[in-house]
Amino acid sequence: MKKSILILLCVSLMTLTSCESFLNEVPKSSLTPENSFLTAKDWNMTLTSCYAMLQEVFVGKYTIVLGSFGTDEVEPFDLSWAAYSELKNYTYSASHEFFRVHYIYCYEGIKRCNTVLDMPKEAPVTEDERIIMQAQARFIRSIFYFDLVRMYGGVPIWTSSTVDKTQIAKPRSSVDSVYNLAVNDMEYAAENLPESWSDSDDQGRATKGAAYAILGRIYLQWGKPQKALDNLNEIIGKYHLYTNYADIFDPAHKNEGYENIFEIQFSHSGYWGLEGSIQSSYWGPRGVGGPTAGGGWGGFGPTQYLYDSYQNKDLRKEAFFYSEYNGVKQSPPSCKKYHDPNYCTEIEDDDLNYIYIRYADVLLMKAEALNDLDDTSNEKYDCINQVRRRAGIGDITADDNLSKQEFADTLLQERLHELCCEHHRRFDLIRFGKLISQVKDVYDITIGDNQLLYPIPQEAIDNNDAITENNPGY
Amino acid sequence: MGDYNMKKILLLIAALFSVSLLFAQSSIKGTVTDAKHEPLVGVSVVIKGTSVGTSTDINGSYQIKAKNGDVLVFQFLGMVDKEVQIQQQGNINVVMLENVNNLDDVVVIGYGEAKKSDLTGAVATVKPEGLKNSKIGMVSGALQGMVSGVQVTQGNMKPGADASIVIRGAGSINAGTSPLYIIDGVPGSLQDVSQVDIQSIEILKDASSASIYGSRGSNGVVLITTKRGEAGKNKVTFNVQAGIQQMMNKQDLMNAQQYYDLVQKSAQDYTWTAEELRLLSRGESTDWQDAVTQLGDFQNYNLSVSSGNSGITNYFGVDYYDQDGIVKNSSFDRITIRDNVDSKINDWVKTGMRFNVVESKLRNINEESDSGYGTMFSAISAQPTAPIYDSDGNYFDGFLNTKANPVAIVDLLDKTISRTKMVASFYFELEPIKNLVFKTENSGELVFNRDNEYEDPRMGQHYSQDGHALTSNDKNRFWQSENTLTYNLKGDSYKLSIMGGFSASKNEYQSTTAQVKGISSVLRYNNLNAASSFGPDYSYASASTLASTYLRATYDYSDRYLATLTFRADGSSRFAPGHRWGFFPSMAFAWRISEEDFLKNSSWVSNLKLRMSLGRLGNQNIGDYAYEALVSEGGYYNNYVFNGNQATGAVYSTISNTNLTWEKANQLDLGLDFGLFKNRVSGTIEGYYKRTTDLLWEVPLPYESGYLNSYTNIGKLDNAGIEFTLNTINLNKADFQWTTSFNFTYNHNEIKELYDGKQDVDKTLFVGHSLYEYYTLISDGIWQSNEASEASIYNCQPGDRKVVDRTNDNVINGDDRTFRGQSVPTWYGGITNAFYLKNFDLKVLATYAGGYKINNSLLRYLNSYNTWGNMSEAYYDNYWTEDRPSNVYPAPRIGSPYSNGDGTDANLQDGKYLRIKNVELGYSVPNRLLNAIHISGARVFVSIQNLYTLTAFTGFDVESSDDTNPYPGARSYIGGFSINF
Repeated sequence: MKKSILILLCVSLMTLTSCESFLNEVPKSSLTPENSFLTAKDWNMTLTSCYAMLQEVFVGKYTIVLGSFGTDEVEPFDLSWAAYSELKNYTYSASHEFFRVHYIYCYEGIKRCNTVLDMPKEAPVTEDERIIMQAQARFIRSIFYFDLVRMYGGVPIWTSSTVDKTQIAKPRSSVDSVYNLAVNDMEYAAENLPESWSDSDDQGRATKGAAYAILGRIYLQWGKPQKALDNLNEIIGKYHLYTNYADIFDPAHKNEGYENIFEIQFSHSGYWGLEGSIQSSYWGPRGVGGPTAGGGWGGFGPTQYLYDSYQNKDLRKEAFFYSEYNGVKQSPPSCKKYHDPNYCTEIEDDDLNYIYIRYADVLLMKAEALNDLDDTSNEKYDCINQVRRRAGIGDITADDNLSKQEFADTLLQERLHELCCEHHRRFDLIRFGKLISQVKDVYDITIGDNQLLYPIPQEAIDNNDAITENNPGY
Repeated sequence: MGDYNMKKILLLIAALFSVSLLFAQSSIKGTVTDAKHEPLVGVSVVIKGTSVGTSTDINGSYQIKAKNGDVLVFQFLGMVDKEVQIQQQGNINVVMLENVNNLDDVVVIGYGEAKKSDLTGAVATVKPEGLKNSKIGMVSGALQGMVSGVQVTQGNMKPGADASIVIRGAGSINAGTSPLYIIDGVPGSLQDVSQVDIQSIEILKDASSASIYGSRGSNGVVLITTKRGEAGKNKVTFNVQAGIQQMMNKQDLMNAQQYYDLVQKSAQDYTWTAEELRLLSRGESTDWQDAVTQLGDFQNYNLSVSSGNSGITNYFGVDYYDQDGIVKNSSFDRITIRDNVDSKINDWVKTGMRFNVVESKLRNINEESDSGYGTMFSAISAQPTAPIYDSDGNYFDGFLNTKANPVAIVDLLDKTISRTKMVASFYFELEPIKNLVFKTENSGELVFNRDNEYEDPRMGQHYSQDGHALTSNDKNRFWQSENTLTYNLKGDSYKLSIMGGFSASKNEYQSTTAQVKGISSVLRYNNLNAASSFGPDYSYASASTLASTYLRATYDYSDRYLATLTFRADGSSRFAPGHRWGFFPSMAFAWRISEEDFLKNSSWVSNLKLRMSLGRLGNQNIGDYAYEALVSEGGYYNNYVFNGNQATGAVYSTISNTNLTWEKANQLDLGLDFGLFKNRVSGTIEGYYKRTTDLLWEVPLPYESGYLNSYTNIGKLDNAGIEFTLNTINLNKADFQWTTSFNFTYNHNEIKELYDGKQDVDKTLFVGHSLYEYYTLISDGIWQSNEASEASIYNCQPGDRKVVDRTNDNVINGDDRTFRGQSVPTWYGGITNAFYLKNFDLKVLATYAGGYKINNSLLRYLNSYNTWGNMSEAYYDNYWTEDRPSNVYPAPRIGSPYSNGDGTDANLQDGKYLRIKNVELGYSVPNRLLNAIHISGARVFVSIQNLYTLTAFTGFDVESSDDTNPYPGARSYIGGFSINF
């Protein structure tokens, strides 16, 4: 009542400005720039949000299929979902929802990294803390730009979090300048990140080794095998191969730094849509009663082609696939990599990390770089054989007299057998120049050169006047 | 000579005889009532052309001596004059019709009242009678077809759902198009009002009338005034109505045998379960639509008591509404209690109170938007080969794409929203000096919602194995203080009234949500403690304030020239400092041409008024804190995991706009009110032009910025339209009357300007087009066998959908899109015909709309081959094959591009419709039968709602919004009675 009287008085004085205080309402459930970014902890939370976007870019409802669909390793079974069948059949347009979502997530992540990188001088962190936070932010930003450039080609570059509405439309940069940014960021990370994190609470953060491994991947995709080799050599021998394939994916072995070099972190959290992963529900066996029965939604899975391409004695045929689950025949066999022994009956809430890069990949990449560089030593055989030996299949040696191309073909097949269903196949096929022929061979679908790139999402173009053209053919 | 005289005498005698016959006077008796058969007291009854007359007594009865051939003229204030020629002696009972254009009616105009004759703005009044067309549903739906310029769309057909109302076209992109509802001076919603409590609804359509609500008035204002007691008129009314509802437009789908046949013929790799094969072998089929629907029923009881003396009056109303929907286990019930007290303390002090409590409970269907789990969508798509129960008697759970069992959903889903609302206001009205009135009205409102949900694990694979319970509570607290000073000055030839005031209000909202898994199906949300796992839990709070001052002056010169000037200033916490205050002026002029000398005595023009108004209104409906850069903390989108533990993240979620301010609507209105032939024909022709500028718009930003959009004041949006209302009394016999009310509205909506010179935004909004334009590819039938080579250019085969390559570049892409019409009606209206024959009355309301298309999104599943489940029978009968070409239904080929029509206009259907919304037959029990049992009036009725709809739309209901999981519309059969005593 007292308040009302005050207000009556206030208004009756007719000095409108005196009511300003009555009209001041401060957000209750969100922070504002005035009350955030004040402490080191605040800045660390912003860094955490950079990592958070990795979950969306690689293991989101839509993004989870982007490295696999339209390749010989995985196909959608739910073809009535136009979004799925379009990716498989290469009939998608620039308006495809999955590209839009992926693109938005990447730039959301970049914005977050830029916020950390724009940390003002007076932020309450030590110089060392600042460097190590910014090294992580650049590590993550590099991954996002790399994902953008390998999917869409040259994209606009944003390196600041400040939004000036008058200069908000930025044109596409060249493919090389995006790659340049990605490697610069990752090189800074490789220089400044620790080998490992001493505090166990930091398990899961980016490391020096991860930066080198990813540099290898980026340089290879960019077509610079020597630089790739240099970086991969930094970590050769520092990681190992698990004897048991299940250990790679088993949550019990999370963040051991043994074979897995960088893992995108998830944690079962008792409710879907939180920090648990959707991998078990998306990849799980089909027709067994859905996730709550330990299976999956059944929307997609490995192809028969993939399964049949293994030698029968290849241990991975058993380790990576279910040909039967709970008495239900899986045809084609379903993927075993994402089976969570503890939480496979939870809907979209398992405890599995996504292994972004692991040592088997590093070994195969090194073999690839050496082959690309016409290396004549036995090193490339050694690298590929480390991977093959674990699978129980025979060595490949110089005595096999493989030509450079034949070795590359063998290597590509090895990558398929080792790294299938891990979000690499599309980019491998493109790098080895085999996407078009494999799609033709396996699905009898003819695609054009232009489809080695996805279109820039239509809405991104519609919203940005500085982007005048899409990729050819879209 | 004698002959001559003789003849003369005979003639004289004959003449005298005939005259005496002619003048043989006798007594005519009867009663005069209104259309509700309530007696009218004090009606003047005069023999035309004489001064002989009388008036009706307290029972509405009269007695007069008159001859055959005399014409009795009945006159009563507010009623249309009635003339009845006496054909034969005896009783003449007369029903008088209300003059819908009664210039002496008092109209509520916001912070005051005015005589209808004095109005300068576009104010439409809906009387309670008009609301009775809609028995089932909320008051909002009852406004449909009643008023020009007011577009009412039921949209969601579920029990308790409010209809959406748009006045004079959508004038905003992101800040809402819903008008401001003011119930007895307090902002509210129509869902909370019992129809019977309503005295009148006034709709303020133009800038002049709405600008007294300034910043919230740009979408128009709906004023609801509830009843108050009348001194000396004690009255108890009891209404009962009940009825049943039947689903309309059940979709024709394939049966099990057809489905089996189609799947077998297609290339789909489908493994039939043993249960399905068993059902097929028996020749059975499951009709899932029947399985989840039922005959709905509804009942409504209402009691009101109106009483008062010269010092104090009281109105008390209690209403109970209970509806079981046509989808099983969906229901809505509501009880409202209202008490309005007004008292006169002395000659210069009045005081009063409004008190209202509403309690309602909605049991909802599953509205999950993730397709496949919604109640109706799952029933439409579930394969007809699936049994409801498996052989063990459990819910069958082998649905395609792991969808839930539709029957399990309706049986087991427990999703209820309970709502409690309390509003109280209190006023003091002082008149210390004659004609100077100070009024302070202070109100408070509390709204509590409790949302309880329990998902039983037996509902299917989509649901947690050990049950999931959620409970959410929120509270909204609102207070408002309105203070006005009014001064009336009256001279010989003029009247001047000035009203000024100030107000302040504050709204505070808070909510908490908690949820658990692993809870017993008995305890559910009532003891979360008993669960095995907890969370995530949420809470939220926000607040906003509004401070305002306003002024209105009306001037009337010799009842001919009228002027109104209005001004309001509003300050809102929702905008950035320095941009908070908005100023909303308006002016209006009216010329009562019929009061001019040259028309004053016209025999056929009873009323003619020309009105013009011009002004500015505002909109601030964007949610709280929109101008600030917000940092959101927590949530799966921001959080991450380190070492297996959740780590909280924080990130900028919006960018600030320190210039954010009011959306402004400038509106011009030109109207002509007319009444002809003693108001037997009356109506209004009105034109308006509304331009909204500085639109509060979530303008899309380049995705690369990391922000999707930002609220910005930008752009121009026009609405221009014509409204036409006509009320006629077609027949006005003593005991037979026929009246017609017709209204028509045409609205043209057009974006005039976007920003930065853009001609389109996101290819969804286009300069020069409606806000609701479809921009799609054109579907041009099906590729036929002889077109195989052309089809192959587009990766198509005969039997695939043919999409027009408008750019002729051999690629179908976004450049081939074009405009395909709009999704909102450009014209609409209603027509009511009422017939009164003796004690019977018959009312027929038809509504119509046109000039738009509906995206029937169910068709994307029904009219092409999909592996998710069932399709339409029409598809089965007509799908394309070599031997049976079709130009509508694509071949059942998996991976056939554009087969479901997405991105094309294939699923757009003309939304034009004409619907017989309500037919009602009533019978008023004659008073002579009632008087003995102390009842002063009684009426029984039967009514059918949605009797017939003429439309090309094939979905569940043409009025339902585009939705793949719609609540089906219903036809209702209702009966009821009301008693007064």
